[in-house]
Amino acid sequence: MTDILLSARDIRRDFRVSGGFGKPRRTVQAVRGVSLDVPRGGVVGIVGESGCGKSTLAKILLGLDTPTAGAVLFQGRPIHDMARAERAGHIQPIFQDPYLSLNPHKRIETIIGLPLRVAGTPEREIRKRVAEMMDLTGLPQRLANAFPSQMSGGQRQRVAIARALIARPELVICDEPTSALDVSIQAQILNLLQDLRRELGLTYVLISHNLAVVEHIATEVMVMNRGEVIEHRPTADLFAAPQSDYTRMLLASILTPEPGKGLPDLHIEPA
Amino acid sequence: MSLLNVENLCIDIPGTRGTLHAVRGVSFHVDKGETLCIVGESGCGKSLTSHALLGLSPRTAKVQAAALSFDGRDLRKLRERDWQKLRGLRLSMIFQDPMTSLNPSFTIGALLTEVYRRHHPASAAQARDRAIEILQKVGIGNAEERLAQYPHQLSGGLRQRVMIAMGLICGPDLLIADEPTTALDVNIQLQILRLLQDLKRDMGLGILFVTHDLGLVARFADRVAVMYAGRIVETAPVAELFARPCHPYTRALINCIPVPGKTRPGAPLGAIPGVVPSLIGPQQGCAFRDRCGHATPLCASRLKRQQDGGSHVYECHYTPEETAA
Repeated sequence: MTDILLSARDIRRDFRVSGGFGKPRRTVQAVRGVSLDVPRGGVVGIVGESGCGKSTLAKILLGLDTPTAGAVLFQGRPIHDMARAERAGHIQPIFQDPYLSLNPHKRIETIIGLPLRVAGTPEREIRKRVAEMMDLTGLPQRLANAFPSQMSGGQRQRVAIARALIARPELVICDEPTSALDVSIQAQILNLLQDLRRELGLTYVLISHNLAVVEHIATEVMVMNRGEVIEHRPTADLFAAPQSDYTRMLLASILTPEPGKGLPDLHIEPA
Repeated sequence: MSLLNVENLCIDIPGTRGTLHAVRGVSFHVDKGETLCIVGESGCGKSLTSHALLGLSPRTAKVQAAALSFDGRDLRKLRERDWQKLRGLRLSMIFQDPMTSLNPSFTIGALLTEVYRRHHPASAAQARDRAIEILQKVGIGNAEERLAQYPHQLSGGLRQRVMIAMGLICGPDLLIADEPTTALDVNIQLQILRLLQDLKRDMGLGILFVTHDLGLVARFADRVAVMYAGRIVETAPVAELFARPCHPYTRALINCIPVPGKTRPGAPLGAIPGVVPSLIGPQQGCAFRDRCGHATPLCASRLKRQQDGGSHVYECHYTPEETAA
């Protein structure tokens, strides 16, 4: 039997939103009954259009948001019962925009060391581990005292990765980790994430709208639409023979660099 | 004759740490009914170039060019009043971010009819009909209801389509699009690209499309110009560029992207080591030399333009055979 690291059971998340001026409030069902198993050492890609609920699901898997119904179990224990520090020791996030996710007033060393400081690690140990993490993520030591504003987008995302990994989590939830980056930098970061997974035995949940990136990294893919799971299968199977019309449409819209093929022919309903 | 002709465009931006040579001698042309894609990464000068073509450069920027003409008219001599007559009517632009480039205090109808009536002696009712027509063309179903809505009531994809409708409402000859589909979902992106392709075919629209997405370039462009650090390092018809990329940067860029079915899943991607050089202060030689595995002392001293067949031009001292890894 495979070792299931994280398991989500029938997750629902409703939001009460304003219906507009003078109109009653209504309920938006962002996630409607999603179940998901993340095997240890795997990379689960979650794909879907904007608004499909993938980022809401990510927040719930991180324990940053509480589902309306359902439970998330980490190695069989509900994560919403864990203390924040304990949860942070197991699961860490990497967010999309390294321009927004790093505190601009803190030095790089402080940013990377924060998870350890929260856990009450002695300062000397923190310094040592920060230096190790900077080496591991390809950040030169001279940047330890720099501020995020003095760094490029790729370097900032390395800082975010170093911060995520310093507390030695088992699971990293990456929400569009390369969407804000240039393609040459995207390749650097994807290679780094792959290397780190191998070296540290990590498990990833990778949320992305870039299907080519998901195909490259993920071992299995879950397709979401309107808050529901459309299909969830091993990556090679899904790309070779998609089972639903929705997945077929998504796959057909990928613009691969093959000139002469022209734009894919798809029938799309007007919005 | 080319619809748009640009020769040796230079854009300098003075700053406290020295002058930033953001665009350093860029030449290209766009013909009627043709799509030229400018592809490059952040900071390569592609957006500054496209903005300069509309007279929308930052106020502190110094823009110089040996030639800058649209349909035979010299754009360098235009005054603001002349620009306003040209922009929107014959030369249109679609910007990247529909969240910030639509005025939030006007309805979609007001935004669209304003553009149209500025350039045409139309009644309010005629302009409204035209607005509905163009909204339907960009794939917005219930166009009449949309006219009464404000930008904040629309999703990102719909807002971007409204932006595109504003750019197309006067039936321009040339459309300059700066990453118009970057923020959109893949199927909406496809729908908009199809629309632009139809307009190109039916109305002879010339398109200058600025993007960093090589997949999009391959499927959509007729010709491609690859920009790096303020220069066009390679330009070619799209099939030739992908079949035989001649500049080491072009080749590296193509190797960076994972392609389903082609790149082996999990295998390392061909990342480009290092970062883009600073363009502050005087520049000499090839800007890519520090990240290029084949650079020699010659690359630091000067540039060399080479041709590979008729319309395939690249800027490197070496042939693709010599720089092949």
